[in-house]
Parts: sequence; structure tokens; C-alpha cells
Amino acid sequence: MENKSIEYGQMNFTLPHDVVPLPSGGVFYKNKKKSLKVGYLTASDENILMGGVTDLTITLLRGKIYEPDVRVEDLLEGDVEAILIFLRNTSFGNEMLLNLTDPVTKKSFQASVDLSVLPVINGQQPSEDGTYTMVLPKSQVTVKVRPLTYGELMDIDKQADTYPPGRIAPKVTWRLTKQIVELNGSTDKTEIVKFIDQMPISDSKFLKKFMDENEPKLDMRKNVMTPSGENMTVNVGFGVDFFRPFF
Amino acid sequence: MLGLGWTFFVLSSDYRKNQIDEYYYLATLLNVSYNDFLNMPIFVRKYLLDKWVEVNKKD
Repeated sequence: MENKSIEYGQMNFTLPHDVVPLPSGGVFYKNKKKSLKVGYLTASDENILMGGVTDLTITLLRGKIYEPDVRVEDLLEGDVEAILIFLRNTSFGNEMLLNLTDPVTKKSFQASVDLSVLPVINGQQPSEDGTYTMVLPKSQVTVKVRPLTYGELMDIDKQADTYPPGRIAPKVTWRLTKQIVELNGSTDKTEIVKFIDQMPISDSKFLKKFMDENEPKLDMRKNVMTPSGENMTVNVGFGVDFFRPFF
Repeated sequence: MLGLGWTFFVLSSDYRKNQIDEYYYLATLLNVSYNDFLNMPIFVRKYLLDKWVEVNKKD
């Protein structure tokens, strides 16, 4: 996998590309790269978008990131989103049409949003090693946490898919196990897992809220005016229309 | 989680037809090879087609 990534990065180095600044600023990565060279979408990539691969994002980005030492799986979700938006904007334009429902009349309508200006949500700065340290409000335990990479999030989803039918996969526990790297100064994984099993729900929620508010990513919220004259905030998602702008 | 599975991203069969049409126009009007077409950034492709239409538009 790593060799493949290096091969792609070097192979495409001379192709037309641009430099995409990362919302994370590279602080969570070993190479500390603040931006990445990303190639523009071509007809070859459109063929990928037209189906046939099981993991589209990974396949697409593996061929578009022209950096030998960067693996898509190691990037944060917010950085992956920023690259996808760059690819869309430079290929199909900044405008995105959304199908929405007017909350007053309950009638559907279309609204256009501009994806060229998306502010970065960047909360508390992490420490040098890309972690955040905090005291959990209920248990009063000091934890050191790190954001999960796109690859880790995918692994959790894949693991959940293989879980026995009828049983609920403990995705929150798996996520916390990867997120918490230190507990009261100890990095003992057994101790961390034991703590997570007994962790108060309020602490778990606190941690989730903290990561939501502080993990660097683009602010995908947009204000639109509804036909009934209401101001509505929508979250632009990576849904069915993201790469299907015309047809 | 993004949840960017292939079902969320696939371009339609209409899109494929349009893509081939665009290749047809670029090949016949501007002598673009299929290999160049495949590696050409989409915005360049759109620009070339729009420019050709603009230049050849009859007033």
C-alpha cells in the first residue's frame, strides 16, 4: 500500500496540479505538511466516478494526491473533505444546487450555495504531538486524545459491518479506544480500555462534543433564503449530488 | 464520518454519454487524442468547448 502511494505520487508529479491548504495545517501529521499537491479531475477520474470501485474516495484521492509520503488513510476527515471540495470546485464550478424543504410550507425547493468560500473551524490548538489534554468533568480523569484519521474511521465502519446481525456494534467504544492515547499520564492500553468500559456517558458525550468543536475542518454550513422568506441554515453534505452537478 | 460510498458518487449513464460526446467534439474539432482527453483537467476540457462555441458562434 505504501509503495503504491509512493509510486502514484512520483508518477503524477509533472501533471497539472494545484496546492490545497489543509484545514488541519498539518499539525497532526509527522511530516507537518500544511498543504498538498492535488491534481485536477480528468476524464479518467470521471470513469472512476461512474462506478465500479468499492471505496470511491480512497481510489479517487490515491490517484490525485501527488505527494509520495502521504497516504489518504492517514489524513484527517476534515482534510479529506477539503480536497474533495477542491476537486469538485475546479471541475464543475463553485455552485452547488441543493434540494431542500421549506419548513413553513413543507414544499420542496432548490437553492444554490457557493462552495468557493468555506471558513475553517479551528478550535483549540493541539500540542506539538497533535493531541489535546483535558480533564473529564464527571470522572475528573485527565486524558490525552487525538483526532481519528479517515482510515481509522473507515476501519471502524468496516468492523461494524462484520458484527453479528441483531447485535449493536460498540462503535463509540472502538472510537474512544483509538482516540484516547493517555490516561492520567499512563499510556497502558489495557488500563485505557478498562476505563472506557466504565466511562460515564456524560464524559463520553463531553469528549465527542470537544472533538466536534475542535477538530479542524471546513465549516459546511450555509445560509439560504426559503421561498416563504425564512432564513435557513443548511449543512452541505457529501451526498448523492456532490459529484453529480449536471445530470 | 463522511460515508462516501460509491453509491453516493456515481455519475449517471447520461453523464457517460455526454463525456463521450465531448470527446467526439474535441477530437473532430480540435484533433485531441483520446489519451490527451483522458488526462486533460475537466475545467480545461469545458473551457476549450465553450471557447470553440464562442469563437464560431454566428451573430
